[in-house]
Amino acid sequence: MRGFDPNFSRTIGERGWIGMSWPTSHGGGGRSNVERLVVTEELLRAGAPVSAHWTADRQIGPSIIRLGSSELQREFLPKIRRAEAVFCVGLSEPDAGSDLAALRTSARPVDGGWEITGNKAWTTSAHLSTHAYVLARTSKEERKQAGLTEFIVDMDTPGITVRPIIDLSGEHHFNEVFFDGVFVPDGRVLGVVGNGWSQATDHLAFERGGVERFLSTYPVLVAMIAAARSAKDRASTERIGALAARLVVLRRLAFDLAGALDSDQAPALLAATLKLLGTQFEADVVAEARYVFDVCGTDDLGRDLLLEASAVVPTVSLRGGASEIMRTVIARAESVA
Amino acid sequence: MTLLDDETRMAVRESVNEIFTRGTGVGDLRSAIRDLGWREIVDIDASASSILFEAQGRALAASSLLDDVVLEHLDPLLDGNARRTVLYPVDLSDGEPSRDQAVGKGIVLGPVDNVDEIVVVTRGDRGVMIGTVKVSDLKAAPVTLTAFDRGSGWLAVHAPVEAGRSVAAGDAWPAAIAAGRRAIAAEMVGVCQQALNVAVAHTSAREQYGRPLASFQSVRHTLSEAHAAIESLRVLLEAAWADSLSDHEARSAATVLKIRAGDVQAIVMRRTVQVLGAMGMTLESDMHRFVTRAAVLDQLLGGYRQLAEELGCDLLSGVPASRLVAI
Repeated sequence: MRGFDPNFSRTIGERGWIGMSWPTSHGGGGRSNVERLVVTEELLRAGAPVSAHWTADRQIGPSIIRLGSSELQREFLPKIRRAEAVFCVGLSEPDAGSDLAALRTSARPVDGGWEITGNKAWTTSAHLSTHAYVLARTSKEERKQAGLTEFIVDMDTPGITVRPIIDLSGEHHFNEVFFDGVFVPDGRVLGVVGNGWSQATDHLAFERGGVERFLSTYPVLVAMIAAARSAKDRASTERIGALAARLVVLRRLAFDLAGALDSDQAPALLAATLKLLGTQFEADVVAEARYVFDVCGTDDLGRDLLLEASAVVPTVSLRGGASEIMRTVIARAESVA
Repeated sequence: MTLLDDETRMAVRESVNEIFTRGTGVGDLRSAIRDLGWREIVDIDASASSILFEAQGRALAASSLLDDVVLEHLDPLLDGNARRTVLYPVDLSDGEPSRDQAVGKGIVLGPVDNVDEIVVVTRGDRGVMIGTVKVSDLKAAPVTLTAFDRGSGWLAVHAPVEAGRSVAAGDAWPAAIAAGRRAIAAEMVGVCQQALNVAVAHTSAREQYGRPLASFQSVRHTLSEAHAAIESLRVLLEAAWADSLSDHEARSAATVLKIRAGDVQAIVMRRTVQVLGAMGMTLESDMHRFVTRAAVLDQLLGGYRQLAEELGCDLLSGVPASRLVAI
């Protein structure tokens, strides 16, 4: 799932499976989000290398449709659908992790646009992206959530430096991105200047509610089942049953979420719930797989899948919003209700 | 066996920690520990070896000190005064040697350059056998293991024992395993404790929402759970050294201790990694070193899941549970 394969993404695009739930007036497939769910589930079940188009399809495209000017829509939607535009997301900073509103990257108005200065951290695939979504401060207000603006930035604009951050498995996925007086034209503002926070909140709902939150370890689950079939171990059987039951719940949550998107909602609460439960599930799939493979045996593929998943899984309760934040989102919503 | 008083224990602990944080090479480590008067300390209180291994864990030091613990029980069975290192069996998850007697495959804890013989444990029709292989007779060079825990310095070795060069281990092997498990558990206490220390330092320094992460209740609860798990392991480690245990009970205690150690490192590392946030996901932070070290230590002399299954089987087949805690 982490696999970055522009050719594969292009093929998916040719099938009309990128932007399939976008309105036909925007060149999309006009399909429902539930129908999109069917396709994305199958892609992840198969462990397809979707990362080159995933972010753009999942959240950038929908954000541009909701909030973008017609120029932005005309420029980017076809490129995203053809997997020609690869997007990274510039949100977190060294001092703004969970407290995202504390971000310090700023955009000051200049002739014809804005000049962005600051740095983003943990930007996945920035080194492979053609464009970046960037949240920056355009004015200082009383509340720190006010005065933020969303921008679409070309990664080849002068003044952008990308520096790799190597993760635990020695791989390069994350980056620091430095903006040194980077010019962004007015037309690249997404939505309303100063309204970035509430726009980003919706955006995050798209990001957190993706099926990858619980299906990225699906190939490991399949290998577990194959292993358990080959040997009679009651504990393995029981553990697989328990995981399968949780998977039903998660698929139902994803289905409800897709339905909410189809009713034009941005279901932040549902997305937070799905991410919290989904990432816990994925951690448990890996933990249980260690047991099942140990007891029932597995082949090289199973071992490789487990090794890869073991390196990735500690990050899923942190990336895209830590589990602690998901709990806060849920608690706040519940206490208001 | 008497016990060191608290003051002496603390002084010994400080001296030992200082030796490990100095970061000496293995040879110097051994002489520094010897110069401390280690022999006398352990003669007074054998459980003091926990201090040594906990310090090694905290410092994430790699050494073959564990060999000394194991060889104390195995050397008496072997001839001569050769310098020896132990080949730890790993083909079965419980740390015991498999029935493939001729093939001595396993792990040694450090380079074999300063060692004459490798002590190999195998299992045959007569039970567990102890034999030796001369380092100069090794056909294949040892291979450094770097795929998971890069800093361990452990090597995979293939040391087939010649027919007739083994003797029956008798009681020495179970005693050696028990002693080894106590030492490994102490080292895992050190690794977990230091991981927690790093997590506490990080969350105390890092601020979000205008206050340290450590001031948030969820972070406090998470780290409290890690602390409680480590304390449970300390308590069990102490119980495993109790004078009142018979040999058989001491072996059961060491098995239970090893099981709990594996469980504790899983509990602790999940929590310390989580509160480190993005920093814990990189090579820049040291946390990954604690994670991998604890995981490979668990695999030595019996992984916790395998040992738990064996304990469960024993209990279910009517083997009486050892009376490990006298209340």
